[in-house]
Amino acid sequence: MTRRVPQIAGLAIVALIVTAALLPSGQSDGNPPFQPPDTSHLLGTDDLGHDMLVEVQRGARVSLAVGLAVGLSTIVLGSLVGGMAGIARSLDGPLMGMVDFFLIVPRLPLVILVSLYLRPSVVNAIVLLSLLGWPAVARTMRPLVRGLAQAEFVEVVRSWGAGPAYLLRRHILPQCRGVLLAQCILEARYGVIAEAGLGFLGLEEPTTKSWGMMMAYAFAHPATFVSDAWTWTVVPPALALVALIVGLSLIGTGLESRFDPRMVQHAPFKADSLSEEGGL
Amino acid sequence: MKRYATVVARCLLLLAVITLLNFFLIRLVPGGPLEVISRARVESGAAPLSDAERSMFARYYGLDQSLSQQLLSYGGMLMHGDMGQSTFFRRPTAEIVSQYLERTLLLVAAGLLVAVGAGLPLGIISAARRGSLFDSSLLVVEMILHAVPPFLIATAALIVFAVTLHWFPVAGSAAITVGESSFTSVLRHLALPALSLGVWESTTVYYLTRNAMVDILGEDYIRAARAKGLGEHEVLIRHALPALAPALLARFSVLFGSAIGGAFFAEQVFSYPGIGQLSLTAFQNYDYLLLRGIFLVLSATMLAAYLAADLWLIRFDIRSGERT
Repeated sequence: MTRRVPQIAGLAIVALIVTAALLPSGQSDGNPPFQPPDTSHLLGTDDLGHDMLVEVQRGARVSLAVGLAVGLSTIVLGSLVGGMAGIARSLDGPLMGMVDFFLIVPRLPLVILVSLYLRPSVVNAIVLLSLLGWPAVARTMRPLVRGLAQAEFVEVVRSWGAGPAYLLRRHILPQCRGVLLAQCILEARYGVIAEAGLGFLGLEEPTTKSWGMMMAYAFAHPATFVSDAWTWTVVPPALALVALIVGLSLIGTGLESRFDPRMVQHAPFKADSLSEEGGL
Repeated sequence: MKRYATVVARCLLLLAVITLLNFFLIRLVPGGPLEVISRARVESGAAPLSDAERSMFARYYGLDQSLSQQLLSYGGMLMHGDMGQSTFFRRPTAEIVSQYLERTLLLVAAGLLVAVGAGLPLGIISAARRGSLFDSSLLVVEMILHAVPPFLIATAALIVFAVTLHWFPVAGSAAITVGESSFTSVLRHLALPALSLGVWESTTVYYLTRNAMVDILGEDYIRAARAKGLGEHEVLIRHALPALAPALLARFSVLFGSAIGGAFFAEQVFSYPGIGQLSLTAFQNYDYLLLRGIFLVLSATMLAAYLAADLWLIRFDIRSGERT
């Protein structure tokens, strides 16, 4: 039971943020600028008179949407490529070569380059981050699928004439549900971190209400750090961001240590995925 | 010898793929390069390209030639180290990139030094005392630290050491400061960006080290060493540590890549004029030739790091294990 405490804590944090994001948001504009927190604006207002509490809540929607989309699309792509590489020997070389390519390519410069060609938007960010995120899933799935492909129950079905795609879909991937769920959460975590980073570097659409952009705007304002303003313009989005990332890490690594057979000897958890994914 | 050749061939192949990507990426944009130039002009307040200007630009950049001819001349230019002229700086791209890259590599090297200095010993101790109070509490601390984006760590360092304590300069690098002797100035400007980059990266080093060390300590030969009566210290230092080096070396390219990404954020917070700041300048000014050059040079740098680590692994005939 005590081993589950971190996971439950993570779940509680994420559930709290999801609930807050789903609540209807109030009016944000038209307040006096740079108000410290008081009863009418619990987190104060920013340099344009936006209510910080409402802004932080709206930021949660962007972060969660990007995280969810990146998590789902990376496990689809990753289990497809990693699965095929694991089960079909002839595809292993070329597919893993592709994974190597994404491992080597400098991610942030590529994102900036593509953002210059296609104007930045939330959708473009999701597509780009999914493209950068799936190789990690493929690398996790390949050895798992390879191991399962040699299992007896798979051999039996194969002897009846089942092809690799059928085996993967009907027999192998369903066995990997737990690992895929863990990977989905960890990739969602990557999406959240990367999206905030893009916002901070100003690589999002200027009107996007995201935590990264909020911090970037606060940083750009000269009054932020010479007064106390940073305690309510920088700290709330920063804390919300860190809380969401910690929550996802706790759930993801907890699931990983429960489902991934390689993790068993690494109590309390191995956190391999945390070390694999190299920032943006 | 064959293994060296395989590794080098792989890297050359990857370099070729990246170069091709660099060449084709802008041509895949709806409307092609001319549309990108036109849009850049519109967004900076000028009129879109007229037809006459379009054909002029097309001739100037060789876009009126066939695709294969363009690719050939692009390859030929690269062979001569020519990556075109930056439209914003009005200087050769190669010259600007190498100047900024130098400062970023210095930052990355210093950051990695800090990261390894902090992460390696902590990871070893954590693995050696797996399950202890020290290990469990460190795991929690590292996980929270790992969740803090690099720009927030840099901001915290900025507020504490530069704004409040005035120990270090708030921004810039030695290159743009006058009046200080150059070497100490370089170090003083490097300290905070490198420290924050290092602290952020150290969590990755910590996890890598701990995981590798836990694997090693589970090996049979370690059990044999213990069985013959060696003390824990002996086992750790004589038998486990030598096996750690290849395990970490095999992940060097991952570390290096994430340090370059982290450097972009450290540079942004401290206005350290490195390749990250240069990329953002290029982005804001629609200088796509410069940005393309940066991407190519950084890719080549990362490939070189990857190659060096791989060659080293082979040279000492260390099995890096199946690359999964």
